[in-house]
Amino acid sequence: MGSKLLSINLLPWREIQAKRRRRRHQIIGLLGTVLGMAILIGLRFSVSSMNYRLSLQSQALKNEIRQFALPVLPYPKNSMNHDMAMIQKIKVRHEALLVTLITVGKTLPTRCQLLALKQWKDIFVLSGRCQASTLIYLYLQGLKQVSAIQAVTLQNIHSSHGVFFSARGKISYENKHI
Amino acid sequence: MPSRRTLSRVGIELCRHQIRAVRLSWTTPETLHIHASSVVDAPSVVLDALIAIRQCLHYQNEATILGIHTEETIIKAISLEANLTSTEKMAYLQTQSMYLFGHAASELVIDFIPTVADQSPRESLLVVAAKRNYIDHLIQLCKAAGFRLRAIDSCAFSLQRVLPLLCKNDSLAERVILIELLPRALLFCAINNRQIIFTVEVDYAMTGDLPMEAILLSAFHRAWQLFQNAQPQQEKQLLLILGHPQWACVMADRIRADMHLVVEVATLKKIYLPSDSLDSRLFASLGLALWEASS
Repeated sequence: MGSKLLSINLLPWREIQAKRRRRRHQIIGLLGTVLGMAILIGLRFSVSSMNYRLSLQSQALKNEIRQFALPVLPYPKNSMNHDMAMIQKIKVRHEALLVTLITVGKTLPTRCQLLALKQWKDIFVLSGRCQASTLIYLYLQGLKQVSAIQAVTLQNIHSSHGVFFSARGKISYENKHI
Repeated sequence: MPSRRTLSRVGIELCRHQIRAVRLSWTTPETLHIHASSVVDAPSVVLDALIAIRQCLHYQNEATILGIHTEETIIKAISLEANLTSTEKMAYLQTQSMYLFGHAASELVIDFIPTVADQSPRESLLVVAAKRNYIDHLIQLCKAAGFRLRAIDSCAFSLQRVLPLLCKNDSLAERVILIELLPRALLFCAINNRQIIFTVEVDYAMTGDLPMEAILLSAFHRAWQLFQNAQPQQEKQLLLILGHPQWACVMADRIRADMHLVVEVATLKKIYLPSDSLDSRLFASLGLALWEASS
């Protein structure tokens, strides 16, 4: 009966309603800001923990390899020593190469796929596919932390049914404790 | 029909020389229980009168609708783009308030309701404005008197709400003119298809020289002339007279004889009132108590 008829209300209810609406928007904005900040802090914590995990993994690998180090042969002959030095040098190079290749493979994020890994002297080139480009950056950042790798640079990245990338790195053979 | 909760209300009609009130409670779907207060003549001490009415009504913290008379409001009919939101309409009215009402928007309280919703891209709005100072004063008064104020409405619109409850000639129910006899003024309200199309309040002076009947008739003729000027081609209409029962009967006889209109003295239908009929002077207050928010 009454709802279809005129119902004027000269109380300032429209102003009160507008004020309530403004306050609601302010609260939503504030909550959004707090949530955004929480997400940023969480992301930062997650990145640092991932870096820490990567460094631990590489350290564990190095320890593992060190356990299999060849003993120095007790032969006094110079020729033998020279050979042993050569062997040690090859071993060091081999270990560095091994550490690099194993690290590249083992530290690959779960949502990434390694398509190719090539090595020539102290240069290695890897290519793969990932679900998100952020994972690639984190992955390459982690590789830089490995002592056997001197430098890693992202060569190419493009998106087509996933994010494809290729990176080029340099293996370090010097001044390393492997 | 509205729910029980929405109809447990008090309607207070604030005239310049009288304050009248009705307390309404809803018990069964078809019955309104109305407790009508005595009319309080207190032009100078409104607060005391409101407190007296509160006690008289046995007020129980019901939502209260306060009705103000037409002279305190500015009523305009305008048309706007139909696709505007409520906020945009209000923003338009506030920017145009000086042009529409002659006062700055900060000095006014404005409300509007859509009246005609046809297929055209424009929408008709009925805009009502009142002085902010006056409305703030009323809010303070009601608060001081202990009433829980829900809305402030215009008495002319409240008469429109009480119209379906009145005994009337149903063949002419589409075009009705309501006349309310107030103590110092005559409220003239023309309703077409349940929409108010014209309203005016004509003051009259109480002089000892002229009989009351002549004074009321003179005020009616003035209002009728204003109505004819505004709405010249009107078909046969029903005239319902509300107010003092004795003068309403006298007015009805005189107008019926002079103007060949269908004239009736307003009474409430029995189905809505189980006991005594409501005094026709309190119909506007009843209409106020029937207020329901459109939003």
